[in-house]
Amino acid sequence: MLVLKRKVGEVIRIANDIEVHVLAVEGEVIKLGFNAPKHISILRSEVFEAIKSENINAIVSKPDDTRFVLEKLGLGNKKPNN
Amino acid sequence: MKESAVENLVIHSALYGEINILPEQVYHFSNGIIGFEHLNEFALLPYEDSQLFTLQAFSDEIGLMLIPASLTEQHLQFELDKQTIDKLEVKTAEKIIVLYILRIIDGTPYINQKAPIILSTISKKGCQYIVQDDTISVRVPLVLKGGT
Repeated sequence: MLVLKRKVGEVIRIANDIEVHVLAVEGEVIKLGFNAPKHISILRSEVFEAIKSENINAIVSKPDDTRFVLEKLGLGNKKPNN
Repeated sequence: MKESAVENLVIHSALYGEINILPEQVYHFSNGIIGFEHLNEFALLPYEDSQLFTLQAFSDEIGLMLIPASLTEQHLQFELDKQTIDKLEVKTAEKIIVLYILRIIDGTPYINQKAPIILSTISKKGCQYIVQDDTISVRVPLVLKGGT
């Protein structure tokens, strides 16, 4: 891992088009600002990990799982006029 | 007549066994889905005769159950960013469908409200969108519209 020391107001540049600004340090909290192209997704890691974990745990592999849900939700049949 | 490669798609699913996929059921996810970034092609299939869907990957035994957000009391209003609109090649809001991924824990259905699946029925593109709101959770109990 590359380790850099920066002061408030200083900037780190990643590749040609990503800037990370150190905006403020308040006790243990560091406030960062990001300038990046729109296709670059910037997320808190814990949000990314939480979504990933939900997705993986949501995989259905047994028909029984889904039938159970249908019964439970009362979504087993379409509306009669469909 | 020349046969197109997508005309006669058969995929193997743990849920359905061997299934034939119609071309209009195929959605392309250019960024995959978080956790399955290696998968780009999915089929959106109605689940039996219900109002639910499964999103079935082509090349892996991965299927997710989806519920249209419109069937829930948890239909959020959010504005898609330009990047997502471009990615989905969306022209008008009417062509977008929003579905939540269902997850069952101890018999209780939960939805991931923070990261819905968004599909454009016209361009046949899809993505998992992340709602930029810290109060929205990745796991909330499902509340059906008009349900008890």
